[in-house]
This record gives sequence, structure tokens and C-alpha cells, in this order.
Amino acid sequence: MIRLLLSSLKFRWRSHAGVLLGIVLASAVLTGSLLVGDSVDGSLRKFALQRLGGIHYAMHTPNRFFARSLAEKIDADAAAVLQLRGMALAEGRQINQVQVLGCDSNLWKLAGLDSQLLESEVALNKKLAAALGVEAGDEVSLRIEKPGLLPRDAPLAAQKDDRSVRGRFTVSRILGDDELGRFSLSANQVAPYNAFVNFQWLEDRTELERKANLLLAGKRDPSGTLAQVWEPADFGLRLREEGGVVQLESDGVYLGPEAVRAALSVSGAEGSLTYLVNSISKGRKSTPYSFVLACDGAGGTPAGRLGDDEIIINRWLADALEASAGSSVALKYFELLASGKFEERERTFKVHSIIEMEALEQERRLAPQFPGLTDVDRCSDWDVGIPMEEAQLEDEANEAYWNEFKQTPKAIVSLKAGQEMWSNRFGSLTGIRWKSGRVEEDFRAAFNPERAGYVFQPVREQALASVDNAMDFGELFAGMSFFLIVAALMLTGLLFVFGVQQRAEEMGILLATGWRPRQVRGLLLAEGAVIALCGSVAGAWLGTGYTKLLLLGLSNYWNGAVANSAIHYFAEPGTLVSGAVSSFVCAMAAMAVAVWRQAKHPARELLMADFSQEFAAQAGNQRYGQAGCLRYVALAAGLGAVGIAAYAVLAEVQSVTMPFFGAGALLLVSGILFCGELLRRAGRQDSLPGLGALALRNAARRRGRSLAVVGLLACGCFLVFAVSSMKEDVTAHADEPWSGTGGFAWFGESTLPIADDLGGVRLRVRDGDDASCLNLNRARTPRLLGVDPDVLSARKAFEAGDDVWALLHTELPEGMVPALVGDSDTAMWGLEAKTGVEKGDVLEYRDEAGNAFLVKLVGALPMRLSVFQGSLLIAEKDFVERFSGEEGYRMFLFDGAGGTPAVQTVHGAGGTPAVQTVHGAGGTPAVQKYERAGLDVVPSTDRLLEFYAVESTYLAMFLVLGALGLAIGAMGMGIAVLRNVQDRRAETALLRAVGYRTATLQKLLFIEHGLLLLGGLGVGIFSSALAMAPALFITRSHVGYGFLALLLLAVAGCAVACMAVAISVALKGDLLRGLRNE
Amino acid sequence: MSAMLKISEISKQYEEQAPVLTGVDLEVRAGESVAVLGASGCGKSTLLNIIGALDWPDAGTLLFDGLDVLSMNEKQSARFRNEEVGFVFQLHHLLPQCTVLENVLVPALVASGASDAKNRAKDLLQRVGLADRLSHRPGQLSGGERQRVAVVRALINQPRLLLADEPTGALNREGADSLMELLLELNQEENLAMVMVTHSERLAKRLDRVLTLEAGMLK
Repeated sequence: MIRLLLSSLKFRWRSHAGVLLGIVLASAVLTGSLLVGDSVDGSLRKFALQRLGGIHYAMHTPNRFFARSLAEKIDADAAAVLQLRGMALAEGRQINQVQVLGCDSNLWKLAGLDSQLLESEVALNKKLAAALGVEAGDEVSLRIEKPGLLPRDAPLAAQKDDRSVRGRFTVSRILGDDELGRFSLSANQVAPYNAFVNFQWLEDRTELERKANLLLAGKRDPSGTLAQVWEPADFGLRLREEGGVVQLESDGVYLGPEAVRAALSVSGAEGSLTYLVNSISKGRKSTPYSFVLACDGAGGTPAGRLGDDEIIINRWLADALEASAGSSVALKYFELLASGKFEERERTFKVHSIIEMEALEQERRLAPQFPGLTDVDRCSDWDVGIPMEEAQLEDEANEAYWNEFKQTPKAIVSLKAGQEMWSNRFGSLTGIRWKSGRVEEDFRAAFNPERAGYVFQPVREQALASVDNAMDFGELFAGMSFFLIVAALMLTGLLFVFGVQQRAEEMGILLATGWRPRQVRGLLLAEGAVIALCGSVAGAWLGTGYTKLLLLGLSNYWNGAVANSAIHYFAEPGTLVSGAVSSFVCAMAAMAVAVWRQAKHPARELLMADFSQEFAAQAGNQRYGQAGCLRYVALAAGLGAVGIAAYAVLAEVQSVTMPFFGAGALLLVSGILFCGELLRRAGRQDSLPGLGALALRNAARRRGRSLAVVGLLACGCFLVFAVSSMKEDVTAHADEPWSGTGGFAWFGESTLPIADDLGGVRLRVRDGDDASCLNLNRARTPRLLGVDPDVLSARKAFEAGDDVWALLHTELPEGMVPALVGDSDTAMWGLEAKTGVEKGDVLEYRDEAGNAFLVKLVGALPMRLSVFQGSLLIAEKDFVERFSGEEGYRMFLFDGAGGTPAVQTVHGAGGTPAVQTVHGAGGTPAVQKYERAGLDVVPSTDRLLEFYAVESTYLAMFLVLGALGLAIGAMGMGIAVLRNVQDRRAETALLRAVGYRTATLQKLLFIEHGLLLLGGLGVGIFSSALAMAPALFITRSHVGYGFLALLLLAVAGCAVACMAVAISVALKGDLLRGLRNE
Repeated sequence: MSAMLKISEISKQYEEQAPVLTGVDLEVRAGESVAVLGASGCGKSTLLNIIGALDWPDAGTLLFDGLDVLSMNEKQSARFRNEEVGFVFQLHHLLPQCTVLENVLVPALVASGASDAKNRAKDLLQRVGLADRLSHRPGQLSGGERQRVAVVRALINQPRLLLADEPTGALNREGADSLMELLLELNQEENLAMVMVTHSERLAKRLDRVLTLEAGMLK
């Protein structure tokens, strides 16, 4: 048996070579596609490990600062870092969105380097150095944000000091990717702009002495150590004793929720809240800007038990207002709104009693220290974040009070009344007091750093998990190459059947000599298995070349698909094996079908190689059975296609693309079956009016083979055409509010927060993972944008009929925050999440204080692509409640040239493109101010195009691979021609014998196969036209008719060329041999 | 009467094989029937293919009604085969996808002035006893019936020469006799010249002349 197998393989090597080539092709394409997945996965893994170096754990508190010394306490090798946003300037260029990292030698140890930066030095990563065009030794300036311990949005926070500092440095080195050059905690393959500076310099200039906001550690989880070694001062808390009273205070003035919870759980604790009111008045008598204390009398205060409508006033105030016990006084104060604006409120109190100034001496010492307020000599020097009237600040009596009593409260109210008036998102207590006792120990026992947000995250593990959950490019490319693989397998099947049919006589002889059909099939399949094995293995090896070719394409032509990231070649042995095994199985399946079909003929027919009975049998059997059934399927598919399309239009389905694509696919099935029906009818007609009819009859003879050709061409055409029509002109309706730009002409992002109203719409930003298509990793916690839903709702921006912004007002249980996904593509692909008030997915975030809270995806902006791609939008009020440390606004939407004056200020009076004006050297002071905030303003359409580049590249790749598949399909058609002529060589010889010229025979074959070509292309075009209808008439997408026409011509030309070659080769042989029967 | 078909000194040798024909001379008059006998592989079919302009000799001449068939180009030789010659082979070589009537009409599709071919086809099929089988497929006919259809197809364009290459080879004795009867009748009625290659001396004797191809020559 083995000898027979080997001799057969040797004897029929020519026939097997074709089959082998087909399998090699299928295997190479399949394995190569899977290896692209390996390469993307390997590259992402490499980037993830590069960006973290030796870092395994990180504690990051973006807007809160802890003691730098905490690093030494938890681990000698842990690195404290001060990470701030900034801009880099050199050679007249400004690069925004730079990550400035103040670091010491410990950070470099985590990168495996022994280094230290001098105060005059900066180390840049390659990306930033390239963007600035600088090298080691060059000069670079950095402008860096200068955050305060008390956020500037907070009431009574200092405002006038600079929000940024600038330094000039010499570039000491350019950091490579393996030297933490790509350092980032975000799961993103795109390297950030990184500038590393001396820690000491940065903390000095930003006045964040001995503070850090990022703690990095190596392999050992430092969480346990942190729980043991922390001290209140590490987290900006201090316990101060004044005259027998112990008071808990915070560097940030307002105490955080965990500090409050822990402190109030310690026996004898009483909270206090100090606020600066606008005025205290009785009748026409009034005093401006006064500190008022709210507390319930514990810890040495003289308040005792006050009613919530009662107030104790000090002697100075009683004299000034001429008030006495029982008098009514009015307090005017500002309430902080979610928008950051202040609104003045008034509350009336009854004077409970009058307290002497001496009794308040201790309160003066216990009063919280507001930077810019309690540390200045004159009231007129006050620098606080509330609107103040200049005339009131100049009040002489108040100035005298300040000189003598400083921040001594003028009045005391109950804590409840005080919190009702002055609680805000930054806190509701400025101190917690105890009369005495072992407070510190008890407080340490009660305080949980983890609940306060001081948590080490296993960042390395998370980074690798993001890579593991990233989009599977292997599947993506296998999907894109699907048609190519199917075409190669069909080619394999056709070639194998061709070989098997040529061996009909051999099979007949084997059967006649006593072989059982199963044994004959086994012999043929064993031969096929040897070929499939060789082809699959060789193909898998060649697949590595196909991968490299695709990676070359990804590097040079399709780099948009991987967001311009460099993808390196990686190959897992398992992938090679699975590619080879899958190809082997597919090839064996294709060959098994061919063998089964051939071996079902009886020995007599095989010996005679005469299958003339086949046609009669087929015609008879299918008259009432299978054919009738398929006719109804064709009709149902056609009606289904029309129904789906009609429903999509009449029901005003939001996204009509997919229904129409589905309808087109149904029409494709219907069309192919309809062609089958036409062939069946052609085979049954009783007249033969001419050559065309004879050609049609010939096509109908091997209906399965003809339909395979029609189907292959139709499917290829449909996929390539329909997919190419999905290419959209995202800028087409950019001025419409319902488009992805919201109707806004300009989109701005600043590096540093801007509090000023620039006009247009402004959004608050909490940095997070990028869930857009530009990030190949799986986003865990997407960036959050805080937006005023009513403003966008009033403009009907980003809406498609329904008021989508109203969803942000949805009341959800358990404190969940409603969020809208930036666009439907982000929901579908970036997050793979469900949206909806009832069924929407829920994501966990941590607020500024470190508390976990849930964000529910109640909806998504209705368009596929918007300027908010990759982000989640929540209501501004929810944003500021949870992220009190995020000052101002960092994202802006501006109208066009006819916009508000504020916008025109940004854009310059000349209405020139914003980006130039903002960065232009000759800008106005206002422009320069925003330049210092790193404001980048680009046309909104540019932002859409940046995102769309990914999809556009996928489409281009699909087109190329699809067109390759069509070329293989055309080759398949050539094989079909050869097979048909080979099958009918006796008939062809006879036609020649009865007077048919070669040209006539060529014509006959051309007509026969041309009809199949026309049928295939026609069905493909017709069904793809339906799939393209929304693009043509509804979304008015940009369809490249010229390109489609060229593609059609190329496909048809390729098919005709293959056909011509096949016909020419087929008719060149010795046709007379077909007539010899000796 | 002068010869309609005249071949002289025809010789043919296939590559790296012994010569098949080494100087064949033959004359056939209109309406005459000639049988060619010979061992398997002696070159009988090759001779028939050369006469029918399906193959070309290495040397010699072939005249049909005085026309030099061997000097014809591809177009002329195709027309010659279509209008002047009818072929019947051992296997019928009918197109399985076509009906009996359509198979008969296949040569007429490329013939000039074959407007009444359909009527003639029906007449001929009636003549051979297949009038009730017009719309049948070859797969639905017996071996003898298929061969009769092949004969009618050979005659559809009213050729003057019928070349039959072992037409009864695949038939049983009864079928062979019946087909022979038919061929001889048509030979008479249509004044058809006929050259038939056969292994059967019994059938050969029923023709006007019997020749034997031996050592590449007709005797």
C-alpha cells in the first residue's frame, strides 16, 4: 500500500504540485495572519515592559501629595516621583502634553541605570527630543504646572500666584526605550513626551517641599509595609496641640473623607469648619470679610450648645454692629457651584451671646491656615478664590481688626449650620478637635491609607493584562484574509478534484479488482494527506514571510491601523503549529469532499470515464426536490433583503449601514441561488438557437462547479465593493450639530487647566486610559470628561433626535454616576460595553479621595465617530463632586469664525486658523497667556480624521487582501476552464471534427465562462449596491466611484486574462486523443 | 466516373515510433463504400483522420473533388469537415447536456445556409427510428440509439463523404448489424461515399470494397 502510494505520488507529481501550491498558499496566508497577532501582541508586551522598566507596583495620587520620605520608609529601593504636566520649548518649537517627572537616583535604579540629574539638567525621551529637534547638550526650557496643596478651585484658595513655573535646562541625555524613556502608567502603546528633571529643583520651584505624588516600587508588594510605617504627616495631616486641645488639620485645609471618618471615630472628637463670609450685618451696620467658626463647642471652644439659628458674636463685632443678645444678624457668604462660579447667599441668625476677645485667643491659634489669606499683613493683600469687592477690602475698621486680631473668628455658629452653608466638594471640616488623650495612636489605628486612596496598584500585572485583553490582531488579519484563505482552499479543492478525475480509470480498476470504495478513498486521501502535510508545513514556514510582508505594510503604508506604532516581528511556535494544523485540516476537508464525490461513481463508469448519465440523473432528481427548495430559499433571501432595507429606512434605524450590509449579503445569497436556477433552466430548455445557448448549456452541465465560480467572484466583489463603500467622508457634515464635531469648528486641549471662560463649551478632564481606536491595549478606566449637559442639550449638539444629554441627569441607585460613551465606536470596540439606563455596563473608578465609585454607561453619543472618542462624559456636577482636585478646564469646543468674542480672542482678530494664532509669536497677551497653558486648538475635523485614519487603514488593508483573494478567484476560474475543457476533451475534439474552428471553440468557451464571470460580477455588484445604498443616499459617505470602477476593471481583466490563458492552453493540446478509444 | 477522393503516397510517422503509414494510395468514388481492415494500431484511424483533415501526413497528396485538402488553412479545413465530411466514431461522443435533436444540430450551428437543418434533423431521426426520442438526453438512450444519433449528426449537413471509425465497436452483434444496415441504406439513398474502419470482416464484406492496411500500406 505504501509502495503504491509513493509510486503514485512520484508518477503524478505534476498534478500534485498544483494542489501543493494551493495548500501552501492557504497555509501561508492563514499562519501569516495569525503571526501578525503574535507580532502585535509581542510588541505591545514589549512596550508595556519598556514603559515600566523594573517597576511592579505604583501608588499614584495625581492631585494629592504625600511625603517624599514615604519611599525610604517602605523600601530603600522605592522611588518617589513628582509627576506634573508641562510643556517643552526649544528651537522655537513648543511641545504640549509633556509629562514632567521630578526624580532621584532611585528611579534610575528601577531602570537598571546608575544616574543622577543635576538641577540644571533634563533627560528627555527619544520622542520628545525628536519633536523638539534637540540632542544631548542642547538647551531646553520647560514650563511646568504649579499645583497648590489646596486646589485653586477651592473656596479661599490663593489665586494670584503663577500657575506654572519655567526652567531652562541642558539636555544631559536622550533616554532610550529600555531606559524608562517610555515611562507611563497608562495602558497605551504610544510613548508619551517625557522630561525627567532633578527632584529637588522641581519641588523647590513648585513649592511642594518634600512632596511627591507617585511612588514606584519593584517586585516586592509594599502595601503591607505602608500600612505599618505611615505617619499622619506622610499624608499631609498633622495633630497640633494648643492649650490642651489637640486639633487634626490638613495641608489642603479641608480634611478628606477618610481622615474625617477615622478622626470622628476617636472618642471625644468634634469637627470644626472655618469660612470667610462676605459680610455680617445688623440693619445698616455691617462688617465685611470676616472669619466665622462653625463648631459645637468641644475642644475648648466657648460655643456650648447652639441652636442652628443662633450665633455667638465677639465683642468687637457686637460693638461694631451695636448688637446684643437677642439681636438678629445676617450673614452673607458665597456658595461654590459645580461650574466653579460663586453665588452669594444670606442666612439670618439670632445673637445667642457675646464673647470677649480674650476668650477667643485660643481660636485664633487654632484657626486654619489659608495660603494667601492668613499669611498676609493687610486685608487688601488677600488673595482668595472668591470674588471680592475692592472697596470692602479697604474697610478701615476691618483692617484694624486684622492688624490686632488676625484670623480670630468674629462669630461662631453651630457645626450643622456652618456645614449647611459652607460645605463644598473639597470638604466639610477644616479641623477635628479633642480635649486631650492619646489621640494620635487612636487616630493611626482608625485611619486606613488604602481607603484614603493611598493604594499600590500592581501596574506591571495590569499592563500585561491590558495586553492580554487587547484587540486580537491575529483574528483581525485572519478575518481580513478570510476571503484569500477561502479562495486558496477552493483553488486547492479544484486542483485536487482535477487530479482525482483524471484518475477515474485507475479508481475503476482498483474497484474492479476487489478494492472496496473505502479503501480507494483511503488511498487517494492518504496521497492527499502527504501533500497537505507538506503544503501546510511549507506554508506555515512561508507564512512568516507573509507576516513580515504585512508588517512591512503596517510600518510603511498601513501604519494608521496600529496608531503609528512600530510593530516588531514575533512568532510563537504554537501559532506556527496551529496555523499548519488548521491549514492541514481545511485542505483535507476540501480534498475529502472531492474524493467522496468522485468515488461514488460505480466501477463501470469510472473505467469508461463516462459520466454521461450524471446530467440526466441530476436533471431528474432536482426537478421537484432540491431545486424547488433552493428556488424558495432564493426568493425568501431576496424578499428578506428588500424587507430589511425597507425596515431600516421606514423605522429610521439610527445606524443603517449594518442592516443594509445584511440586506446586501442576503441579496448576494439570493443572487447566487438565482444564478443556479438560471443554469438549471438553461440545462432543461429544449432549443438550441445558437452558440450562446450551447455555451449556456455547457455552463449548466457542471452546475456546482459553475456556481462555485459565480459564488467566488460574487462574494469577492461584494466584500470588496461593500467594504470599500464604508469609507466615509467624516468631514462631510462637520458643520451640523448632529455630526461627530457637534457643529463646533474647533477643538482645543490644554496641558494646564484654564479657569477663564473662553467662550464655546469647556470640559473638565480626569486623565485615564485612552479607549479610542488609537490605543491597541484594552482600556481599563477611560478618561472622564465633565460637561454641562444642559449647554450641549440646548445646542442639540451631538444629538440624533433624542436628547441624549438628558441621560446624564438620570438618578441612579447606590451613588452610581451616569456616563455617556464618547461615540458608538468606543462603546462597541474600545470598551466592548453595553450601554443603557437599565442594562448599561458599570465601570469602577476612584475619586479624588481614593474612594471607589461606579460609573454606569447609560448611553453613547449616537454617531460612530466623535471628537470625544475614547472618553466617557459625565455631568460636570458629578465630576467636581468626585474630582475636586482637578482644577479648571482642559478641553474646549469653539464655534467657527463667527463665534463669540472670547473665541475670537483665542483665534485672533484676523480669524486665522486657531492653531497658528495660539502658537504664533505675535499673538495678543491673551493668546500668550493660553500658550503658557499649552493650549492646542485644531479644526474639529482634524481630530475626527485622526481617529478615522485607523478605520480607513483597515479598509485599505481589507481591500488589498480582498483584491488578492479576487485574483486567486480569477485563477480559480482559469482552473475551472481547464477542468471543463479537460472533462470535455472528447466533445471538443468532436466539435472540431464536425467543422468547428479553433476560433469558434475559443468563442464558445469564452461565452460559457464569460457568462459565469458576468453572473458573478453582476450578482456581486448588484448586492453590494444595496449594501452601499445608505452610503450613497443616506449618510452620503464618500464613495470612490473611480476607484471602484478601476477595481472592477482589474478584477474583470484578471479573470479574462486567466480565462484566455486557460482556454489557449486547453485548446493547444492534441484534441484527437479524445476521440481515440483504442 | 472520376474519383471524388484521391489520396496518394500518404505517409505518417509519430515521434520516436515506427512509421504508421508508408505510402498509402486510395481512390473513392461518389456513393462508393470502402471498408478498411487491419490489426490494432496499424494506422487505420490515423488514415481516417488524415482523410477527414483532422490530422496531417508527413508526405503525400489528398484531393477531394480536385481540391488539395492538405494545403487548406484552418478555416478552410474546418469548413471542409463541416460541409463535405461526416464522422462517426466508435464512441458516440454526444453532448450529455443536449437533447437528441440538439446533438444532431450541433454541426449546423456553425454551417452556412443550414436554415432548414432542424426539419432535416427531424426527418433523419424519424428515418433512423428516433422520432419519439427528440427531446431525450443521451443518458436516457441505449448504446445503439446513441450511435444512431451520432450517424444522423454526421449527416445533418448533407456531406458527400462519411468517415466511420469502428462505428459498431461498442455495440453487440444485433446492434452492430442494425447500424450497418442503416449506414448502407443511407449510403445508397444519399449517394454517400463511405470509408469505414472496422475489425469485423463479416461487416466489411457488405461494403463495395474491402482493403487491408498492412505495414503502412493499403492492399
